[in-house]
Amino acid sequence: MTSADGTMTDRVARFREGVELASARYAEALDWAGVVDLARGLGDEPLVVGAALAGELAADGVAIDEFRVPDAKSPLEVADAAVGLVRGTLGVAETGSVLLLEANLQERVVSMLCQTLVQGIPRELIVDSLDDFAGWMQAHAVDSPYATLTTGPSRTADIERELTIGVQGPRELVVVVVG
Amino acid sequence: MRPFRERYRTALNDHNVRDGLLAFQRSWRETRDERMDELEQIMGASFDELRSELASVKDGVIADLDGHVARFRAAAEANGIVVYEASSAEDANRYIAGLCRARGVDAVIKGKSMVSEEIELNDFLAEEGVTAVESDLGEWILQLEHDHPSHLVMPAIHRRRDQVAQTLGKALGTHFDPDDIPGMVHSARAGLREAFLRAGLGLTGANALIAESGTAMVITNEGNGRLTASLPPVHVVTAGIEKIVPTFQDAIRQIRLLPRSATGQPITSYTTFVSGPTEGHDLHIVLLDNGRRAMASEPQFASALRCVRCGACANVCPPYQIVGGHGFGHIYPGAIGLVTTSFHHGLEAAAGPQSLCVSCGACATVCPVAIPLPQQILGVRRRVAQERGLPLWQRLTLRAWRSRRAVDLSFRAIGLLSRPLRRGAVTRVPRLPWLTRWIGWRTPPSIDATPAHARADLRAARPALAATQATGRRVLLHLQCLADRVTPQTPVAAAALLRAAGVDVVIPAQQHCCGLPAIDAGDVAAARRMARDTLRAFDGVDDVVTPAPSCVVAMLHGYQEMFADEPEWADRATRLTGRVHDLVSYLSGPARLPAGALAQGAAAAVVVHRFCQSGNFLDAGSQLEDLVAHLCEVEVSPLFEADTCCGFGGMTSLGNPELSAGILERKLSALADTGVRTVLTGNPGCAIHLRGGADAAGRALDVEHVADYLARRLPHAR
Repeated sequence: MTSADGTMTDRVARFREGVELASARYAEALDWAGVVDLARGLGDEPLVVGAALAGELAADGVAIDEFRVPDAKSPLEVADAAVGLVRGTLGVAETGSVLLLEANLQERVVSMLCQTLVQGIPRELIVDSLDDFAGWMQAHAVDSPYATLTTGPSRTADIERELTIGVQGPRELVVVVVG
Repeated sequence: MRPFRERYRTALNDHNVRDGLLAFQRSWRETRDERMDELEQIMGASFDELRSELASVKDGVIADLDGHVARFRAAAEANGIVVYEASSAEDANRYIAGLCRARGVDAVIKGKSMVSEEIELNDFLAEEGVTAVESDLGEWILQLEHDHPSHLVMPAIHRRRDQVAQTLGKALGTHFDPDDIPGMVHSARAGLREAFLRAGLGLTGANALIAESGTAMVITNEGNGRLTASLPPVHVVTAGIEKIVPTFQDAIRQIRLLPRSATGQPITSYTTFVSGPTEGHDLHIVLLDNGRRAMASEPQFASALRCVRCGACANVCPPYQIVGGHGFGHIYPGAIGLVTTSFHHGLEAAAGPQSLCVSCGACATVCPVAIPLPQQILGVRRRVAQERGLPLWQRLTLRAWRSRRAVDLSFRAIGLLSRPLRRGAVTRVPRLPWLTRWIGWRTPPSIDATPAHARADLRAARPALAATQATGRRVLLHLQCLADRVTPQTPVAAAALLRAAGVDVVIPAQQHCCGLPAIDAGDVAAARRMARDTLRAFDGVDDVVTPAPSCVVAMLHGYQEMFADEPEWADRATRLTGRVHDLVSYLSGPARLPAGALAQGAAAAVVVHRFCQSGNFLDAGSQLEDLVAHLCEVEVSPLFEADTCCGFGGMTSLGNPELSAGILERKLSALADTGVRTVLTGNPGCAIHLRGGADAAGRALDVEHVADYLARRLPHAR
């Protein structure tokens, strides 16, 4: 193992710790076909995928026949769908976070409203720390009008401080490291 | 908002508040400490270093608010964001209402925004015919109940599950089992969907505004903030101008400290960066001043603008635990609220809440931007005292206290008259109904007719037990005015201990009060007079030692500010550092006797109540426990929340006795849980307060000042 591999292995291990600490499920897949299989296994309904990702997956040869792509005119029709799939732009090992760039509502509804959300993040896009993330944002913020660092499913402790997972956002989050 | 006294009384009678907040404060503390320890390891830097870095970033912005507003504005506008600078609450409200009018919006959906609470936006919009619906679960529950937040991060922390079940049941036309909290939480998803779809405008707050890119950073957990920002065609961000940070790197500094301080999370579920409008959406940012530039222009208060609204200052605050944020705050609750309220909502609104602060200093120890909150709260108190005057009882008490002779005569008279009622260390005053408020929960101390300064044994020569670094040093024993009259044995014991360490003890006849009660009350004129007399008395000695660390805190942390416009006296006050010591630190340092010097064979275990200010201002840590174990070789049992205030709080126990009684009960319960009978403390006020409280509650605790305990073990006393 080279030292670069060692660093990456350690980074992914820390990323996993962060993901699990945030009450999300951690998984790994060899490729995007594996991620899609995993996501499909989480519910009986068609998988909800944004148009851009659906296009990329199709180009990669992943079968997308059963996908449900939100309609740009009435994106909320996929609200409360069982399982959605999104692609992370950056992973942060320090916190187990995944950065989602969602310039339009049609893409955003997938991560905001599906009951279970699967986030695929390519292994090589996992950075070490929030400082690395800051560096990335510094370079890309202007082209990324709506960026969210997501860490675990939505949650609240607003009633008698009892932690409840799943409020307005997903109730379950599965983070899949790809590759 | 209801008047302060009414809010305070309601809160005192609502035991749900104090029970719920006690559990919350304890669990928060544990999680927050754990997460902060982890952060220190990750960063290889201490909490103090990390918070200093963030504080210095914020200070840079505060020092040049206009420049940073201009930089943020330029970047945001270049991204297509409409930026509006609102000078006041009215200005901000008008702008948002105008936007609604222009867009034909009659329904607004809101994410959590304390600024919108500050400007009372919902009421303003309602008058304009616009309905605003809160989408944060806690805020929504409160809105349905026509209530308002009592905590910066946990807005509905004062509501019980059965109350929430009823409220949600009524709103959604269904029945909720109060124990099915997940069921209630999940109902919000469907319950608010209609409001999201109807809304023509979504409004959120911002946790930071990043100047280099014109980005609003919004930190949330529930996911409602993202929906609010995304579903309606217009998104309005409201934020105070102090939320600007120069760079993303600075925002990261805030992310590392804010969620850990707020909820004990390393990071929240969603940290959203909005840098411009997305297709089909308009984005407006309302930058609010509303007293912030005025705050920035005042050296004493400018650093309050560092606040990141984490709520940590409330989470460690003993008075907040008893009355919650409706009493301990105005719209902004907690220690920071006591400061900022006077700038955002006027001194009148701050006057009541600030009177509840016990000056324990706990808030400043956890503040992630190191705001000197205790000093700032005292600053607000001084203004209240100057503009509204002190209550009559306080004015008369302080006036009388200025005169050493008057205090002497009064205490001698009380000592003689109360002699028939004395029972050991307490006085059995008949429980007359009109006195119950003050003595029902705390038996008054016995007052000896002979104060310490008139006792011969204070000057009695004693052989030194051993040579110490303090041997031969000329040390002025500052008796402390209260201990001098109420527990005269304590200064006598302190003198004996110092002599045992070879110290040349001097006790000037004319010494009196250091000014602490006046500092604490905000009476600057009286405080200065007493402080000057005290400083004069300190001339010509090597060190000053007192059995009262509260006086040390007043001298080292209170004098400077009081003499801000009197350089000569400020200079004299500065020179006290290193010269003034409390007895415990002196006996632990220069006057340290050998191990076991006061051991008496097998002795019963003791438990130590740490004087809150010793830890929070003087960094004493476990000094008192260590000293007792070192000198006496006894077992010192650990005490849960050993550093937490006992509720004496100087005049607080007289002005707001119910509050003081509530805080005392927390301490007495913790002490009783140890199963140890002997309680030692290093501060005379705590000893009197705890002893009286234990007696009134019928708890079998023997409370004494550590000087009394140690001096009893000196050879000549055996």
